[in-house]
Amino acid sequence: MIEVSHLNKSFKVYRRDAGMKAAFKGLFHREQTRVEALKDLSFSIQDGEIVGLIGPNGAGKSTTIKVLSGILVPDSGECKINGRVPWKERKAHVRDIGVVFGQRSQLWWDVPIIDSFDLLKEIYKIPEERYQATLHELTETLELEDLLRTPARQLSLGQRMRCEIAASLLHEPKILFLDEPTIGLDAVSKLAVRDFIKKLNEEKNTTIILTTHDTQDLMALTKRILLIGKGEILLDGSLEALIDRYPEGITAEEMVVALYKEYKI
Amino acid sequence: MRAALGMLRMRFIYSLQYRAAAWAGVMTQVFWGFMETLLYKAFYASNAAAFPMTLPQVTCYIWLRQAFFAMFILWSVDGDILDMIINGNVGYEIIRPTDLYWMWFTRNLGSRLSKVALRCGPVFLVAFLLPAPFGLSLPPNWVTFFAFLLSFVMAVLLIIGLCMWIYILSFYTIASRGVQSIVGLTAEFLSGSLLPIPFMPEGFQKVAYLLPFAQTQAVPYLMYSGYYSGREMVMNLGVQLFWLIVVIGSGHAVMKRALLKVTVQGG
Repeated sequence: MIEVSHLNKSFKVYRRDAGMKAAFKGLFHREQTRVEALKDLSFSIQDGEIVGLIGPNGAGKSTTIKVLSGILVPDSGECKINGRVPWKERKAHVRDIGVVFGQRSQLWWDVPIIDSFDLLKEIYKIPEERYQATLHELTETLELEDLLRTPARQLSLGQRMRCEIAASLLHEPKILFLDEPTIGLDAVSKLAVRDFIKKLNEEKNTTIILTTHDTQDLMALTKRILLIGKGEILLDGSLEALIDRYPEGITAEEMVVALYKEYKI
Repeated sequence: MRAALGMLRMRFIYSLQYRAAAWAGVMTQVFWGFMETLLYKAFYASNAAAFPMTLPQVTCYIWLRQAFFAMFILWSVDGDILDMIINGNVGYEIIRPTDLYWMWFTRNLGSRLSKVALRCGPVFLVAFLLPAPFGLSLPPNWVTFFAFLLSFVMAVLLIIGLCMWIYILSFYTIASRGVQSIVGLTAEFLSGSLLPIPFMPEGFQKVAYLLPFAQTQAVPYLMYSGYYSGREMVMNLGVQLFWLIVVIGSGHAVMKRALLKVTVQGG
């Protein structure tokens, strides 16, 4: 159970004009502005839901995930996940969650994947039998057999992403955050990732919070979407109801564009 | 503890991947040590009485420094950690159920230990085989040897504590290269790695011994050759312990605060 209420977070941004003169001036005085990354964000998510966070670049999707996973501390507001405040009870909280940042890597670059996994086993203090069972299961479903003994740097993006997902699930988290998990993947890899996520949710009742720009991901996975724009929640509802609002035959892509236009984001 | 051992192990296997670097390191250390002992031999030939240490003490100092070179270089920071702080991958470190300070501490310990493990063997072999004034001799007695061991262990922990401060400062300034190069050079000189501290002017020596840098190299090496005895030995171990507690204690506290203020940028 995730409960978020009135969350605010702003960042400092330094700006200056182009050129030598402005750069020199910047040595003494920096123009500082605050960007509101999250504005009065409130929502709640039940166990076992799959929720898609959508919104244009810079809308605050990733910031939301970072706050929920305990990486960022918000300026104000409340957030409780399974009864815990992520940034206050960080260690207990992070045992319950898995996070995949599609644009980053948690695997050690130069050693075989299995070494990275073994380290995670130690970090999460997973009992050996538990670990072997989970690893076996993940290896089967994500087809990692041949990848485990290969260094991360020699894997293709699709292969690596499957390993990243497996890495986030070794400690069997109750909640999985996926920040653009299908970014840059080819069609086959995307399908594999989607199928896996769906299965995970159905079989283990894992709560999944997903950000994506890929409308196919949304259609395939989520029942509920949260539309975020300029740090605010603009829409919270079921995907089906949303599609029904638009004329018959509209593609998901067109619908998202229409949504962004409607909310001027 | 389990996580720390895991990290130590990971860093160890990680470094074992870089074999060529290890061999190059060994060659450099041996060659450099050889050149330097010859240099001091020439100085001592002119007037041995004019120097604060005996020639065997100096050669011991040089060979120990060469053997443990990779352990005590302050600027040999883990580039991956700095990159993580700068590009935001540090987010993945924060979502682990561990104390990040100790994770990075053991990670650095692991990488430094593995580098030394690969490099010190051949250096010691050469140093022990060299004839009397040039080579490495054994410590004068058991007490000295154990004092050296204790001092060495504290020095290892202290250098990593100092290294941790470089990472901590990087949380506050995006470009840490400047800090690294200024502090790195000063620290190297003050550690007695370029010139053994007893060779420095007296007033300077006093300051150098009070700062934490000398505690990372000069003190254990001087300990080994029996330069200190009795009260002096205990005093030096005390100063080392003091710095160890201060550097690690403050680093741990400040890092905790830094993590609450961290902004993970991008994507």
